[in-house]
Amino acid sequence: MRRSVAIAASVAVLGVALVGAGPGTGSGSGTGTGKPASALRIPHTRFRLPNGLEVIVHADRRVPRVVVDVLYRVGARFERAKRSGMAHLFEHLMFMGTKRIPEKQIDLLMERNGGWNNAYTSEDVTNYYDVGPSRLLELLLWIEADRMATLAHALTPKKLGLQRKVVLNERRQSYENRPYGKARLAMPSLLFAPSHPYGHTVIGDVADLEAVTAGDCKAFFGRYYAPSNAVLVIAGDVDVAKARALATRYFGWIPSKVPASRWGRAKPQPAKLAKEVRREMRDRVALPRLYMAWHSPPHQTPGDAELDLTAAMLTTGKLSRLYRELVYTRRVAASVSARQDSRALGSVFTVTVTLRRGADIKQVEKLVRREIARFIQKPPSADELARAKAQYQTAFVRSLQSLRSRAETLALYMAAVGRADYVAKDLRRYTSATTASVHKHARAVLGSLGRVVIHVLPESPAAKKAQQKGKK
Amino acid sequence: MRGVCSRLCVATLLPLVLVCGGCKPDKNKAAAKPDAGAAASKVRATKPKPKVGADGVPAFMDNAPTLPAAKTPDLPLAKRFKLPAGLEVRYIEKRDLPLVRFGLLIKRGTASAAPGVAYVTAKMLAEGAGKRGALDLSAALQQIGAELSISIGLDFIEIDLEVLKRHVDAGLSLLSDIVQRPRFEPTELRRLAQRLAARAQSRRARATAVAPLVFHKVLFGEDPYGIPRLPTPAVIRSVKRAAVVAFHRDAFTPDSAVLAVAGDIDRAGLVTALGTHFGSWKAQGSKKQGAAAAKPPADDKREDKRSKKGKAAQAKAPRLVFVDKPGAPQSVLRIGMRCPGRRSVKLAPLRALFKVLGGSFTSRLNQSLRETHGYTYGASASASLYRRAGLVAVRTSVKTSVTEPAIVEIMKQLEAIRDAPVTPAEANKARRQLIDAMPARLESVSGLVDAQTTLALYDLPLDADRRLATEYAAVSAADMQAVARARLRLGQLTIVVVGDTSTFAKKLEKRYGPATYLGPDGEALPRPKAKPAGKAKGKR
Repeated sequence: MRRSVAIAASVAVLGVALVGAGPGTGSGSGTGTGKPASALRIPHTRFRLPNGLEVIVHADRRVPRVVVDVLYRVGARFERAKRSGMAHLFEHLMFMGTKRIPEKQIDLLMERNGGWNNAYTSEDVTNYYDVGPSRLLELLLWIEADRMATLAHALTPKKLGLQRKVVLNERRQSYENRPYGKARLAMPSLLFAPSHPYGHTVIGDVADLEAVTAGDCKAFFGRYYAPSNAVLVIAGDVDVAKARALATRYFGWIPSKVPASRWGRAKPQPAKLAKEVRREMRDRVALPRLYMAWHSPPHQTPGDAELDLTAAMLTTGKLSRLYRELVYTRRVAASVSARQDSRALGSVFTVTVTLRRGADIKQVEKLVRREIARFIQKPPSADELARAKAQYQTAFVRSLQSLRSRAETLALYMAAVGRADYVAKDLRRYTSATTASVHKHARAVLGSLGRVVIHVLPESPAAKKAQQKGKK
Repeated sequence: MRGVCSRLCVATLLPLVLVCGGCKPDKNKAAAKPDAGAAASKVRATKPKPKVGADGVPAFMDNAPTLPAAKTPDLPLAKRFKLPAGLEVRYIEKRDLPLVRFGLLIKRGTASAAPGVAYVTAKMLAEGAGKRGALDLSAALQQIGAELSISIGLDFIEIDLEVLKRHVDAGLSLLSDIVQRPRFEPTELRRLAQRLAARAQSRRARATAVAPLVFHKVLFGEDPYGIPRLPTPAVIRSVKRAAVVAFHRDAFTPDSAVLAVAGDIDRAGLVTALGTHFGSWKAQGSKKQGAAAAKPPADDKREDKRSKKGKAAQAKAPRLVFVDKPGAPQSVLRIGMRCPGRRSVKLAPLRALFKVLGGSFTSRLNQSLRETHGYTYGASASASLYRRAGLVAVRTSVKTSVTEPAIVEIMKQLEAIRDAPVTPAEANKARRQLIDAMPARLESVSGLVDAQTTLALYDLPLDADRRLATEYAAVSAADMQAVARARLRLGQLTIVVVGDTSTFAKKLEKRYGPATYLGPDGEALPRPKAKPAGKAKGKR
């Protein structure tokens, strides 16, 4: 299951929530009625152009729509020192036009013809997608090919300056003016050393964003935006042969700037905390919140699915361990959640507890620690595991419905495991987990004292006043 | 197949500068389009041969490909039937994946009951039903991997359940318990009230949640539409079990409900399953009481009169409302006014107008505030239409220091879209966006169910969306301007700003007159005392 943290260029306008869009998968016409979920697949044809571009065509002619998804194998983890936020800022610049398709025209061309687009950047990848009626296919390919080949030629300091402003506004909207944003900004630097590829946020530090030059952007483009570093997915109401011809026509001529490297699993870069890292911070929040975070197995490696299932057993449903204890029985928490944030080099498992007013955060932390200790003391019950698995079975099938989700899933599988034909195998990671395997992996992760603990407390009235004074 | 250089279609759609570098026949043999080059040569036979770009990009890349003609999407019609005991069912078959979704719509929402009662009732449905307590019900839903969601609106409550095909029977059994036999246990009611109260408390710190709450409150005042769906903690705690039981008895009856079904199930199978689980569902109260409760509130025909002749219509300047959030890095804005409800507005020109104004990335507001001025991460505008009335609103969050210029720019944009008709290119874009977005809902069972329950909520005919597609195609720039003039009257706008008032209050009050100060729950607050330090700050 993938979960890239979404930072999208135009999400705000459309109100699209990208985070947790669902586990990967898809089926086209190939998935028949009544087949077991394990037979799920997204029928497709895959080929590689001589310049290294991986092309995947998923034909599904039931709805008169197409999706073009272009994934680049670059994310925040590829950023160099003092340039955090570069990958995401560059994602914004990809919409700022080329010599042939000048500023604003990428969006206008699509929207005038009933289509739309968006993109997001995670630690590991940057993904662009275009959606529209079937007749848009050739137009979308032309636009994507043009910017893959020539974006940097038309990149100016003015365009950079404008998108830097937009990104700083995005940072305000998504973190600085949002409750608990402070903790979310601090988490990467508490979990990882500054030199680790995950040691900074995807959105980036303000000083770094302000330091980026047009030259940096051009170099970044030259290094990472190459056909050999990208996957193109064409999905929807299209004939396979025609899609292949169009992909070849529009992308085949683009020079291969960098040699094609192998797609597939990245080499994990384990991070370990020698001891517990604790922080207390004040923020403009109404209720206190506790974060606990651990390093966990990388995406698509042994233990990754078990930690997803562990998250469900801890906080999904009223019988889940932490919900039952903290929210239902003791009523000290307003809500609890847990998640395995799966990433290529190493994942992060986070438990988040929002307290009820009047509850003592130290006491709540103690209760959380005790429940987690109970959970890893012996294997979960068969019923517990069955309930968690059932959620994933439904979620996989549900995520096969949307054409965009299927296109994206094919691209993400290609990036994560080097093959697109992976839905059934991905689901099997969940269905084949056992109480013993969950126990083993949950204990290895949650049993570690190397963890980050953050207490977020409401600003005291006194602090607020002091801040007011300081500002004036 | 068409030639790569005949940009006829695109050119008419795009009165924009797109460099036509030339029309060289396609030399890319890998293109596997044997007739493409020939067709291109024919079209441009008399023109000079193009050059290959200096940047090494093939000439065919210089021009946008020609698009095939647009088609009108084919939208499915639901089948409608009634169960013997009275429940109306709408059904769309979708057999490609083993999924079925049920959406039970109750045509009663938070505005149909005392504050908090409908919200608490709806949420209590999942806190124990039939022979299962809260914990057992949660476990039973999880065991079959069911996806349960309860949506609560001003005019409706909708309970949706999505399951794999093999769990349809078990799922329906649980859904019928949830809808017909909730337990409303007092201890669970207390638990729920505490959780909801905590949620309402945490909302106070979220400016993006406070802004719409206050905006509704100011626009609708004492009307039930002005009360937040999830009310304040104190109101939530005051909801009595007896009120919950009574609301459930009156509102949750087959007469005020519609069940929409989409997915991998045939009609015979559906009828059998529904007969088992919903066949005996009847109104519980007295017949008279049930019928009265079942009658949806009337459309408010007075809304338009009110906006033309009422007190609000006499206003000459926009009304300012501030919620103070000291130190906030952004100001969250809502700017708009009331409008008639869903059944009274002409939907097509209204939606088209707001598409152009703030309904997509290339809309006027987003382009201006985000891409030209760099004030925001995004700006949008749309109409929210309820049964009796609605509202139109511009929504954005802007950097604190540009609060005033951003509001001035928004007002300028609103004035501009009233004063002159939108361009032909904009009108065409809006029509295509609205029409071409319609098939997206066919991809998922939730999209199909949602479309049906929306039509049912407003008592619209089964083919209303097909008609709407036709209406969209016919909307003109003049239609849109007429809507702009009726629905965006600058003197009647309300401007809500949630942010650090010390930085913008004086400037905005100078422009628009004195502001009203409200708290994060919409409660009246005294004006903050003028601080000497604030004065010393002076002009920018």
